[in-house]
Amino acid sequence: MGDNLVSRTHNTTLPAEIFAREMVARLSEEREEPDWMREKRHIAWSLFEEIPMPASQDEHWRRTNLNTVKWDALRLPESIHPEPAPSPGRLFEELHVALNPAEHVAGRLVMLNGHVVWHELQPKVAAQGVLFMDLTAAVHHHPDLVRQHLMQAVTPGEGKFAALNGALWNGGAFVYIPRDVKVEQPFEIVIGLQGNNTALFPRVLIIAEAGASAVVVEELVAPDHADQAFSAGVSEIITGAGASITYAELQRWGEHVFACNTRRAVQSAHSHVTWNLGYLGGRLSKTFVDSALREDGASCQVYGIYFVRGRQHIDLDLAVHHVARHTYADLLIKGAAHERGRAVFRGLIHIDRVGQQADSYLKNDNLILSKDARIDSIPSLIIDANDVRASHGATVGHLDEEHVFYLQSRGIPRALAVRLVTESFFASVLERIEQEHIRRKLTEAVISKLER
Amino acid sequence: MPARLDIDLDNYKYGFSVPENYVFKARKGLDEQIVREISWIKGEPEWMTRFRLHAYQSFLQKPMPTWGADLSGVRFDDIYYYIKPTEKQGRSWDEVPEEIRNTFERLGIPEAERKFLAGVGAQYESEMVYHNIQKNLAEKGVIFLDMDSGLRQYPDLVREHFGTVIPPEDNKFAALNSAVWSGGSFIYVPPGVHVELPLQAYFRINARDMGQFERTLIIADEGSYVHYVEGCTAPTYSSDSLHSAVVEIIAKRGARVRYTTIQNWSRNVYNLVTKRAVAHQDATVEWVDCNLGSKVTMKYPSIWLMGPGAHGEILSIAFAGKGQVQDAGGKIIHAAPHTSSVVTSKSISKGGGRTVYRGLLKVVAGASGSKSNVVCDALILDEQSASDTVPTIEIEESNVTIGHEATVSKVSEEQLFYLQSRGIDEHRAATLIVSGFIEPVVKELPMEYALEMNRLIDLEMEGSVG
Repeated sequence: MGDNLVSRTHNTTLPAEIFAREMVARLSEEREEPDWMREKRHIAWSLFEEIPMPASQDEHWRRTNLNTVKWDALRLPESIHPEPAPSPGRLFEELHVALNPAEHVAGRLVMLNGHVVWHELQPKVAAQGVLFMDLTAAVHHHPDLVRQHLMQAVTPGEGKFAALNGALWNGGAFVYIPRDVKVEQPFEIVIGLQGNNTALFPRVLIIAEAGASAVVVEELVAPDHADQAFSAGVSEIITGAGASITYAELQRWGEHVFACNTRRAVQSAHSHVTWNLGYLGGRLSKTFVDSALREDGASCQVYGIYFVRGRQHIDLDLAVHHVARHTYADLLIKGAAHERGRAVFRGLIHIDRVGQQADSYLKNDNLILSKDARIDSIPSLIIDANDVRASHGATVGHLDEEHVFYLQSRGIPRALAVRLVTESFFASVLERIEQEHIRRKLTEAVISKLER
Repeated sequence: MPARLDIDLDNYKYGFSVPENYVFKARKGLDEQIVREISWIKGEPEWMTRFRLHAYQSFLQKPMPTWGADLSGVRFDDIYYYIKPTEKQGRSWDEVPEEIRNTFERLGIPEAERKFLAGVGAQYESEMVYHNIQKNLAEKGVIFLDMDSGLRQYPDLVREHFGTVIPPEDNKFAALNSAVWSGGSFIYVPPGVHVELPLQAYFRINARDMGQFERTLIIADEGSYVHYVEGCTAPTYSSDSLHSAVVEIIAKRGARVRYTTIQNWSRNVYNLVTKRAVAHQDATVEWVDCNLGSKVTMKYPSIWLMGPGAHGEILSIAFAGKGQVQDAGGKIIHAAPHTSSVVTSKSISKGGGRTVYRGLLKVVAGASGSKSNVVCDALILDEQSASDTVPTIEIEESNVTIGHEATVSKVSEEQLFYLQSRGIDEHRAATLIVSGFIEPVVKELPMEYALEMNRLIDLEMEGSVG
């Protein structure tokens, strides 16, 4: 027994007047949403009102809290339609998005404060029956699909911010891949956030029917220098039997953004989800990521990085739930903390009683680059079946001075040597990312952060 | 049994009066009056009464842990917090549950020792051994007493250290122990003295070490060495439903302390224990912690590495059978530069039992050059059983080397097949594999304990495969 393992009480409340039920109604009204969507929003709102603000007694919120958010100042972005979009070149430049419009993508959707500013879908992909559009458009044009799946993987009841997103989602994307359709080129979704005190609630719904496959990249950007902004995002991935989805999240918020996001895949038999995660931006972010391996033979891989510096705080809360037989998971997450940055990693392998023959491995390696940085790593195993293999490993280490010295002896200045050694630390996870497009994006993001 | 205490009522400075016809009657539940009574009966100095009363307030204020095992079965109002040893003698051999008597039989424990272990006899025939050891220790200046005697005979030494490693405010159960403690060991080893023989609680005459709220304080002065062994492999029968001990260890500069626990409480006991050691410069503290019994155990021996070069080690075995939760682990805090630590945990669950490794490894800012390695392995022997691993790693310092690994698996079919192909039956083969699995910890136990441990595992394994 000991008090280090016992949590202390902090109480934070989210003033209800910042967000109100009228806003739910207004959002629905302006978007001329059908009744079922209004109803989903209202149910979510009721849950939001009921669920208490996460407090430090909750294990998931012991090391990360949103106490420094000035809730009173937050407001929803103007929900009327925006001015005509600027030219793509200027926009991308403004968003600091390292995407090249000429690059081959299956589809691209760029949203700014919840509004579509760019949308393209290759005709030959569309011809296969693939649907790719902003979520509001999907509510209108594909109500059956959206109604059936929206808020099913991430239900509004599971957390304060999942509920808030369910009630107030403003913008997001819808991806639907029909049965046996395989799309090799990635779909890119860029979620842009602008303006002081903006509160943004993006929501992404990805459905892959049986045998389908696709690559979806969600990039979060907020390039301006405001006092604060807040975002609670949700991404839901639903895979049919044998389907395969690669989902990449590249979080590059500006350092004024507070965020709490939830990403979940609900997986059918023999489906596979590859998660490629990069958390580099934001002032403070908490991200829940999990795969529910619900049917036999389902599998997932998670390859990700986090990197904090300055006064950043990044909390990645990862889980794999093995709730069927013969499921497989492989997770490798590497993190670094520099300056006064703080990183928290939680990684759970959960094997249910019915999860016999599960095979699961999690590895979390960390690099501390400065005396004032801090890293917490909490890998955990909850194992209720016996015929399984489950392991995890975690390391925290410092920069290998020998490597730095070697590079210096070759005439490379120390700062550059440190950068190179850090880069090589991340290399072993980056090289596991099969999609070249994603690997390059992530690598460039890491390098640009190192060079700052 | 303890000698009649000399209580000088004239010197008694407390604001409560003792009625003339006062007879201490044990009753269930806890209030300030009972805490005062416990202290009064023991004839304790004023500071200890104050300590207890303060701790009682803390106990009231502290919340129950919101994590870990289910403690809803702990009924604070249904417990006798202090029973005079004479009253405790009332138990007869017939009251000891059959399975415990059988286990004694199977372990080949001598009759007298069985009665001692079952709390029926006061002690077993070790008086000669005991006297020789006491003589030997006294010559070296080693103090080895039960905690109550320690407080009476060495009040200053106790006052200086008591509650300094685990303050009553630490957690609800440490507070409870601090309020109502009784028994336990008090050990002081002078500078440079090496105590060659492991000190075992039941060498002490009047050993009340199996108490419900025992309190142990070990002070190893500079450059000294001592190995203390608590408990035994045989089941310890207790009719009490709550055991809540506090163990404090102070290892001064260059000292080495090893504390071995073999916990085998009967299966009705909630075993909620706080154990913590501080290791000063170049000191070493080792916890060897084996948990086999109890209904629920929550125990996380900790080591605070407070001086440069200090080293900490935690070796543990947990075995959870039917209806048992072994929520154990360890905590190491690197609070000084160039400190090192190793944690090795082996858990086995069977017949619906659940083992949990819950750990904390913390390196505070400035503890540069710290190194730590944690390895946790768990075996799950059947479909009903479960195992959790929840280590927490908190690093506030850049110049560190920290590693953690954990694995959960079943008994390897390959190994089973190999042994069976050599003509070893399945049960025997599984037992051998489990014995091999815990070997790294068992080999650290004193010889007689290691032997008994293997026999015990054999017993626990009966009928576990199939």
